[in-house]
Amino acid sequence: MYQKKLRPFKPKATKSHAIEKIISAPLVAASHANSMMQKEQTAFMMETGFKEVNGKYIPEMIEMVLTQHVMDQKSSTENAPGMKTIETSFNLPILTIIPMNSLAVDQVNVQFEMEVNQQISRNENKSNTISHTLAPNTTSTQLKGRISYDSKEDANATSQYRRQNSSSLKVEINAAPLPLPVGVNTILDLYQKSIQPIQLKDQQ
Amino acid sequence: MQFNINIPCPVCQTQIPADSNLLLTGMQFSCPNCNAAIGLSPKSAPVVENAMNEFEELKKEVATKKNMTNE
Ligand SMILES: [Zn+2]
Repeated sequence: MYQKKLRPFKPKATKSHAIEKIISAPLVAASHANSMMQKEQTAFMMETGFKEVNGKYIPEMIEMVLTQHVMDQKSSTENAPGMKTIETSFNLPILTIIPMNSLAVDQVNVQFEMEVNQQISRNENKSNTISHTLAPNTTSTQLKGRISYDSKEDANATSQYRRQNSSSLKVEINAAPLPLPVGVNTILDLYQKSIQPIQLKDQQ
Repeated sequence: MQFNINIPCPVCQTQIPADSNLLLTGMQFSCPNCNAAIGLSPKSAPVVENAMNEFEELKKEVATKKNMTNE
């Protein structure tokens, strides 16, 4: 009797779907988007917050009004102290009042569930049919092939092979930007301090 | 009230929580420490308004990119 040796079928389902690529794609996209946003944010800061004078960048200033209520001796009476409103102008860099935070991609969650089903059935009766079904979560791929046999040894030979495999894969990835390095924070801190308004005392 | 920025008080240096959009409407914000009130000078309002509009445009662009990333 004709007995064809069947090798165990090991489909490289994960390989054919390049799972690493599928998982890393959103992370790479997020990282690209983040760097693009940072670039745009920097360009915006330079355009809006600074003006170039003789090759130097000077912060664009805006005028603010400080209102204080003070006791007024002149309008005071014995019973009621007089109050006076004093308005003082002071300047601030325009960047101080634009909320520059919350522009970056803060967190990326990638949840991935994939079910790989293999179903192999092989019927050999002069002809051979192979059908593979790979069924991940939402998409399904079918590979079908037909191989014709022409066996002279035994024309009526029949052999059957069935195999079912199923495995599920769950991947969960959380990605978030790392906190800024200390050195960068120090530079930002120095920068912030240098553009922070200071109060000038009267010369008198 | 939602505050999105902090402005250092020119009198006592305490951070005054404020909202940049409300500053544009002429609203003043008081220092929690010395009660001095600060507001945007009408002189600078057009410059700030322009910058805020540009910032909103940038935010919209960023939101589009964030959504593209999510897809
Ligand atoms: Zn104060």
